[in-house]
Amino acid sequence: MIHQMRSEWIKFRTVRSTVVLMVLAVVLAVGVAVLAGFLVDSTMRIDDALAGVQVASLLILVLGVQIVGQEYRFATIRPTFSATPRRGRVILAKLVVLCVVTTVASVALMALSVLSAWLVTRFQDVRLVLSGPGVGRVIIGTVVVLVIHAILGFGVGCIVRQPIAGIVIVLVWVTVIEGILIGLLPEAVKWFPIAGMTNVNALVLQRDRGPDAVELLGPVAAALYSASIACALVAIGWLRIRTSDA
Amino acid sequence: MRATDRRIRNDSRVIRSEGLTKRFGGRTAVDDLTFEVRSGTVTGFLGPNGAGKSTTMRMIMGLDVPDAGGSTLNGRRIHDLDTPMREVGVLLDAGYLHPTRRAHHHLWALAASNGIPRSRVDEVLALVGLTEVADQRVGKFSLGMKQRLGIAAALLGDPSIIILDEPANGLDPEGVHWIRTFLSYLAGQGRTVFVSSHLLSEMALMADDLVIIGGGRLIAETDVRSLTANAGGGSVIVRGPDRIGLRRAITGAGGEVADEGDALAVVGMDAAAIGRVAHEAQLELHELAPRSTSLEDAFLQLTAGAQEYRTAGPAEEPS
Repeated sequence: MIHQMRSEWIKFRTVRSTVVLMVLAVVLAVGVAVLAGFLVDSTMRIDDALAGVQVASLLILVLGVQIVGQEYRFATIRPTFSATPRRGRVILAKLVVLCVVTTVASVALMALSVLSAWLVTRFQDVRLVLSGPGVGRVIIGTVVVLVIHAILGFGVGCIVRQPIAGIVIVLVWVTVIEGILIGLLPEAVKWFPIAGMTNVNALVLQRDRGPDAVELLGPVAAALYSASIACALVAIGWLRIRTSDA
Repeated sequence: MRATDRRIRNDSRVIRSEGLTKRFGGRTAVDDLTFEVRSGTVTGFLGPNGAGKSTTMRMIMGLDVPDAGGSTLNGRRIHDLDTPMREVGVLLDAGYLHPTRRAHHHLWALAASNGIPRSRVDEVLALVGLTEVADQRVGKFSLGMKQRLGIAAALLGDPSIIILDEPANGLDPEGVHWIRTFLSYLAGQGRTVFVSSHLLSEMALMADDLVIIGGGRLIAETDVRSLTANAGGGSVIVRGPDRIGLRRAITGAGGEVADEGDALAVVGMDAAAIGRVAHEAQLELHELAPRSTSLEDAFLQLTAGAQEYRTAGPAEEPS
């Protein structure tokens, strides 16, 4: 298993697309943090500083699709499975590498975002507030949310086994389907795998936002719920991969 | 368990497929295919395009899931091998590459998955002559270079079995020559080479054994010499001053005679019998030459009807 994980790590970092996605994520995180520094009135809170990381979660979804979809697109899955005929090891190794990379990347993105926010606020008449209740949840929750995004993308990638179709599906899901459904069925938002995670890394929980706020699951419940859906997608994808011709 | 291992190791048949069957939709690509490949031989896997060679190889490697039957390598199913690259090296298609990955990274990732040290990557790159381009992205590689890279990948684990699917396909003459020389070199090291081709001429020079399939079914498990000898249709060329007399005598003895220029082509009697007939009829002979069917003819005879696409009319005549 350790061999497969090494192999997957080498594969991960030796194609251009994953490097491009990572660079894009950094640009997005830093860019939005800087922008937020100009837009906030007098106080910049940690969730403002990390708004870009939140947006970068879309790229993590794409990354999850890519890590398995690309192997099918370029048929490198065949040499991969020839070298490791027990396909479960390959899938698990990919998932572990993806989750570790996402964890490290999310910490790095948060650090870069906060650093950028700090630099911007130094030259503005803005106060950067990084402590207070809820900050721990924002930091840990952001890692959790990004990792769940990665697993969701990975699950879709395993099921679809084509990067382009997989990416379209996850992006349309997040931006169009969940977007429309939120408007139509606000009471059902808590059951959406992405939008339902809002509480997981929120500085202020939804229930404290006033009577008009949409009702959501608590942070832990929401994270567990979305993680379960992500794992179910991976399980379905795994069943397909296990029984299909490579 | 140990006794079983020893028996398997001593087994001279390193690749065995039994009852392999694969259907795609309504079409049966491989149909109850059973064959063996002996240890230390070069075995040609022959058949027309669409005969099921690639599908068979993918099933041997555990990539395509058979509808029935199975295969073993060194007596074990591929799924039971922890580090298959150390036992079997495979090149199914040189294009199975990520275009933006560098050549040595491609090999390194494969090597790592089987616990093969990175130093081996440089060794196999040198072996196939790609050291200088090791740092290039493979998207820029020509087909010939990709083919070499594929062979390098197959050799990473220093395996005793090498499986190659149409390795010379699409290559320029220089590339074909390189592949042929390299396969001979691998065979010379005592490795078992199982190589597919739709061209018998390609195999005739190097293969010891032949597994011939058509329409997904086994047509023959043979070797090059028996193929030509047993293919049937071997005729004897007979020439003499009295053609009419010869024809009458041979026909009378049960041979079938056809004109071929100023000679006769006899089918159904061997040279000794024809000589005896001529001697008994006191007919002078100028030539009595058994003519073996060419390899290509034998191959075409065997696989006739099994080709997926056939040309009609004059184009089918061999040149």
